[in-house]
Amino acid sequence: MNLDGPLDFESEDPLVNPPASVEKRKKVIGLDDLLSDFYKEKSKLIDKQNKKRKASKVYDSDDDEQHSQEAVISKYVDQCQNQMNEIGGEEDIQEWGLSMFGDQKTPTSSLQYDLDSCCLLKEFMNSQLNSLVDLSPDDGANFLEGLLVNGWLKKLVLTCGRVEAIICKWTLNLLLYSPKEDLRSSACGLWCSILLSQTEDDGAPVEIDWIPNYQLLKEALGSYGFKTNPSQDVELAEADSESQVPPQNIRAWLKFVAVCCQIRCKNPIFSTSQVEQLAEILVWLLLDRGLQGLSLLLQECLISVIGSFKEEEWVSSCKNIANSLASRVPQDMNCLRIVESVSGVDARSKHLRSLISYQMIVVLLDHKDSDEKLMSSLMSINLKEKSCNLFKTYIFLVLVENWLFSSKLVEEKPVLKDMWAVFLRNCSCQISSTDLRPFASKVRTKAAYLLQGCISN
Amino acid sequence: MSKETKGSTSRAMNSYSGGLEANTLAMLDSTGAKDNRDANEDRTSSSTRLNQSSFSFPYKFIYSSDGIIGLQFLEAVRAASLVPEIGIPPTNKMYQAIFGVLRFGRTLELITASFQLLTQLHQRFPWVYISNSAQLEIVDEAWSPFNFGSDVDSDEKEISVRSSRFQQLIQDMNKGVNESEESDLKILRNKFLFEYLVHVLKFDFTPRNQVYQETMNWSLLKESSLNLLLASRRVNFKFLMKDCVSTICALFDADEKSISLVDLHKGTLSAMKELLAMIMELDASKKKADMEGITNRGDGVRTPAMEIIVDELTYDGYLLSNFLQVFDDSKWKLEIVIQYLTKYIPKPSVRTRRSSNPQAEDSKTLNGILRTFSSGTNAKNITKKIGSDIVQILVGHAFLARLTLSDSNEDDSITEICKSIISAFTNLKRVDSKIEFLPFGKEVLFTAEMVLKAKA
Repeated sequence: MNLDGPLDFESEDPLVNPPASVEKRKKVIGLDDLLSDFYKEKSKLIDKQNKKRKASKVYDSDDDEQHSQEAVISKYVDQCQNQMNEIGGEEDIQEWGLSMFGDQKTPTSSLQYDLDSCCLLKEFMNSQLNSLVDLSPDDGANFLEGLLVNGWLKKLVLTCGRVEAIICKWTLNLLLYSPKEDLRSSACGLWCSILLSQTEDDGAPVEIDWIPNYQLLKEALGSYGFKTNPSQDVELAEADSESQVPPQNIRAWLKFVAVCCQIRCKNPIFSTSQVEQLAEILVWLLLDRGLQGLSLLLQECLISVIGSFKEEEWVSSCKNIANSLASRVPQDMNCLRIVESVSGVDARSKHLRSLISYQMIVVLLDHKDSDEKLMSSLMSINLKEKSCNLFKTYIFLVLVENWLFSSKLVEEKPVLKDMWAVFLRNCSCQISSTDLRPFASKVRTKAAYLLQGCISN
Repeated sequence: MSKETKGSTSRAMNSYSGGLEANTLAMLDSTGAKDNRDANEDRTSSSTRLNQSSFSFPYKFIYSSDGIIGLQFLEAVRAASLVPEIGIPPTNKMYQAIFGVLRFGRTLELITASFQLLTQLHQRFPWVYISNSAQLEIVDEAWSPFNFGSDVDSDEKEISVRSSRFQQLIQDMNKGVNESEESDLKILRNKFLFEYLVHVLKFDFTPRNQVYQETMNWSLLKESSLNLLLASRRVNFKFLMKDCVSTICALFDADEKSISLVDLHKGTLSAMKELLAMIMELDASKKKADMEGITNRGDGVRTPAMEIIVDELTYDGYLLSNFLQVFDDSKWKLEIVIQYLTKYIPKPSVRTRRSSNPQAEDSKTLNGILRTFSSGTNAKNITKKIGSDIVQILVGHAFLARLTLSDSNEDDSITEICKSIISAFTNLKRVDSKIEFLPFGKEVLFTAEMVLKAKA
């Protein structure tokens, strides 16, 4: 090991090691300057210590020495970091993320079934052909698992057009709780095809003796550790991320929910308020960083869920979802993430996107007046004032844009667009390019961009 | 505007797209001084970093650590192109930038967001589609993630995928399933990239092939991205197919992987299956064109994918069973099994090309094959050649695939097949009483019997 060289973290992490003397400088300091200053000072420090070490030549004390050296440097690093933060810029990086899952609980499924009385198995055991297969009641469960995993059960059910209640309950239980991937995904595949057969126009629907309900799904989600009151501590979520992730069954759960909703027009498994709750749950799940890899699945699922409302339900349900979300989501990057995760590719998700944005503006401004009044209170924000919360302004920018342009509101009330343009102009003109307040440049750039679009349309 | 926007002239939105391009891309450029900080993030590639000043815009934000700029850009494109009723299609330069995020994005969030945006844009603004008048419409100079063109290296090409890169990607996929030395992010990124590329190939190939079936216009398929990709001299087709097969067959322990990885792995597998099925479709269409004499020497000769797959699966029961279990495209699964079995089934008569000898055709249907098993000597010969386990696996999977396909004539009806299956298995047992049926074989019998009972 080269003790004379700089310590690993020193040379690699100049970001956190700017010099102490920068505070008095003028505003425009490139990080390169900070870096080179820092290296100068650091090399002085190291030279000094090298001399000391060469003088003593006692290697046994190296450890201690190294520790003290580390301590000095880490203190120094901390100081510098704090100063960097004061200079500004770093606070611009705010992350979304909530921890939606806590400890998993032992499943307390209310699904009761007895595979021994499965008609399918019994019928076969009574047939002549069983002399070739030798199926006995003892290995019935094993045999059924094989049928399920290899896809026979699905084909059998679809070909025969009927599925008995025991098989339904058994497979749903596997879907929700089985720790084995092949079992839960095959069970999920089986359920999806049975349910989808209900809406197909050509083939006859599979006759189902037993239909699942919302309670079962909620129970399962609860046992995965889903929290109804999410903790807002992002750092905690990141640190403990491993213990905070739901079991893999959540994927099957999501696919199942999506399909249940897709067939809702023919076969309503959930009530209106239950679908509203599901939509909300999905949006919350989109805020969990541990599930980021599932965001495509979550969004598809959300589209299916909001697509399942009947036309007459939708207007009030959309309002309910938006209200409930807006009142509970923390007022930080999370509220932007929510809006942006509603994809806006179809009419319903556009509507939801717009409405959630609106409700969040209402909550943020504590405002219940007309749209015009709402816009004028935004226009009255004095961005030059030092106490002005630019972060909040940034959030307003994104929210208002989504509120206005994900709906037809602007066509109905053109005055809103003019007011919006004034607000944008304020944001892009009142903030100078050298403004070092957190989020100043983000607000400025965003507003300038949006203003371009506003004028060119 | 530069020539990149030419492609969108047909969409009559030129001035809008031009403005949009300038404005969204300006957003990417506005990172300004913060780029310096970002440089530190990429510690391992400090040398690449030095070169980046010579690249154009996308690299600036791609190497940005927080990715907020990239996300803002993606969100801006979404707001302009997807959310409005009449969205403005992105220009080619913008597409390239979005694809740049997918290829080099530094956070999972960036990669998923760009993947999603690209696929949604593709749906909204297809490059190849069938018009209402059943004509194939191909957008001129549409952007493509692939670059099969000349070797001139430029910034644009740095982002585009060349045919050699595609092969490399599949090779990595094959190696990477159980390797942990690569970072999770890189694995995730490759999987998303592969899935997207297959998606592009499919959206290009499917409408072309559909119109080809009606018009027999081979040039439609000849110019398809898939054909261009496979025809490239940089692609070793045989290795490509082998890598696909072994990726599909590789064990994947879901319990040890993160949720994201498991989900993505499933996506990769189904993309891989789609790719194989697509290549076999192309081969079939090509064969048809060959027979009609509408191909020429320039089209080259390639071993059909199915032959390579069947060769690969022969003599390896483990590979065979895994492959058939994962590969669930019923049509092609049935074809593969039939091709496999016909090699071992005694030919009833000498066949000539294009003969419509019913007996010869017989050995090409599942029921025809099953019937050969009802003769004791045949059954004995075949099991002797390939083993009774393999026979059970092959026949079983063919049955499974057949249960999904709905088209049937009198002879090949499901009930007929079930009866033939049962008699074939019974015969196997009669020929060799020591035969132990695999659990899979028992499941075959169970299903055949229960279907018969239900249909009775």
